[in-house]
Amino acid sequence: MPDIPKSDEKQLAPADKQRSVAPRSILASRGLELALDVRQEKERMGYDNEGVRCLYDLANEQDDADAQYVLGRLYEEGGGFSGVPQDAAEAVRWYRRAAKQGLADAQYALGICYVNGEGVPKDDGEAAYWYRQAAEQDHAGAQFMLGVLYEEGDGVPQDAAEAVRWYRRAAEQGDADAQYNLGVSYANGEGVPQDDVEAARWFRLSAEQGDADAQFMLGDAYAEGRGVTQDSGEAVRRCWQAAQQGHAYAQFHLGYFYADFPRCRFCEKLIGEVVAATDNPTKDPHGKGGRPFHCSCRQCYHTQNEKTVNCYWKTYPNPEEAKKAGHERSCSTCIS
Amino acid sequence: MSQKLTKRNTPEERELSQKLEELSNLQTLLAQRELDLTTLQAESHAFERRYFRVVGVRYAELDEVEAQIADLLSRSSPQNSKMRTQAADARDRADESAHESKMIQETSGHTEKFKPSDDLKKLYRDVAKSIHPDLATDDDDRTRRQRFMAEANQAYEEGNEVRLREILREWESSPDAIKGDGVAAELIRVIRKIAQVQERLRTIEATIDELQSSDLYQLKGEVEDAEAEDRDLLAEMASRLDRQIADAGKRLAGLVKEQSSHA
Repeated sequence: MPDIPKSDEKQLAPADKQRSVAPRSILASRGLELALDVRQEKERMGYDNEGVRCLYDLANEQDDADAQYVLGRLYEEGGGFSGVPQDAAEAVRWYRRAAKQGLADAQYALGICYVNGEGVPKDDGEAAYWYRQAAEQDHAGAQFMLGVLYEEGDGVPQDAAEAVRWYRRAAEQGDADAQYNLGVSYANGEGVPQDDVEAARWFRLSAEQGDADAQFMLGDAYAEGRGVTQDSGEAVRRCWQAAQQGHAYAQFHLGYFYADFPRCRFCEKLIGEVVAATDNPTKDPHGKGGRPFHCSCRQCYHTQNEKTVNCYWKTYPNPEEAKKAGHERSCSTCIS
Repeated sequence: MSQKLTKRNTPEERELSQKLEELSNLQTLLAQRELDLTTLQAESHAFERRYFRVVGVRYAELDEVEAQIADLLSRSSPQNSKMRTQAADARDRADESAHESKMIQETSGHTEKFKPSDDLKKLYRDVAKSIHPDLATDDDDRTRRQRFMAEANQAYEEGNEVRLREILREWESSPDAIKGDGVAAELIRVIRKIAQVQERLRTIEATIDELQSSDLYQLKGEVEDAEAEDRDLLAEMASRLDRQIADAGKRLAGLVKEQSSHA
């Protein structure tokens, strides 16, 4: 039998000849110590409060999605009763854990964090992904936001028809923002055939929920008779609602709407201010058969009782006629 | 162990058959463990690069500032021997950190995350199974195998599937050193190979153990655990160190100002 040579040290495989990871790296040892400390510090933070502590246990150990979402909200807002510090990254972490479990609210919240770049680098693609998860679970806010991303082409290919599809799903659930945007899509014929009647229908639904933009658009539609029967009184009423919410465009346009309306013959003010003063908007700006208008200008302002005529419109060209109409007396400053 | 249906005549032939099967099983195991080790090393190297880029450099910076502070303090009280020792220690530490951090950054490779695909792993196993140096029959063969294996390791760590496939093809088309010296000689060669493979397996296990018990590897584990919770632990460590560096910088500036007003 030939002699079997023993394998010796120098015959080691090349894997061993590679530079091995510094086995006693001092910086690695210090890093490990620091890492453990940093991790623990974060764990301790904000969990002094007994309630928050329970929430944390529920969220962390029992992996409860609702608790994770609430914890995310606490971190996003910070402070308050909880004593949890505001920490966007920590909020994102909890939202993500809940979102991964399929909680629509958390998916929606996570989408918002991605869109705003809060606690996580801005990423519209990721935002679209999480909005979609929630939207498919019929979360109206997420459906609306997904529609916006499609409309703008942010994080998804631009697609007006897809935007309309998501707006409609949210609008049908009563989301005022989506109702408004759907109205705009119909008005402009974007992603859907142009249709003023449908536009006005969605503007109305949104306006009735108090959406200022929709109130203004509906007022504009009434002023022009677009998709609705032209009605200056309704135009004023809607536009005024928007203007009172601080809608700058509505405030600016009020004047145009009133151009055809009578002015106070004494103070030259527009009917809009009359409406404001009485808070009694009417479809009948000339007051025929209705209550007389009150003018709010300084000369004319007078509020003793409902019957008092403070100012004259076309219906009451002079004090005599006003008296005939049942008004006890006239405003002395107005009538010469 | 499955029984071969082929009729065997001599005890040597029977033994050879058994040994060949044993070797084949060992080869499979060896290829797997070789893959495990190389993967572990590649992952550690990648993590090491990341760690030193994000955290290591900051330690070097912090140590440098603290060495300068210690130096200023010891100069201001030249009689104090304890301070002198402290200053010297701080200087040593700063130099060491700078050296370590610089050394890692100069090593080859750019990936900071090693994520081999299943295809790549399988390919590497195939390569290791047929090329492994411990399957060599003589020294020439071993040298040749080592050359191939070193290239294969590099290709694997770079995630270069094309190169790895080429290496395997080159190896398979190269003339094999089969020597027909009869059953007895063949049996001896196989027994020798088995011994070599077993020896190598022991080395691999020891190396893996050592690697996994290193501080760097444990740190990698902590960072990955935090990642599973969507936390970037390295970034958190870096920001903690940044605060320390800023504090130390202020302290140093204060000392410099104090000294210049004394002078």
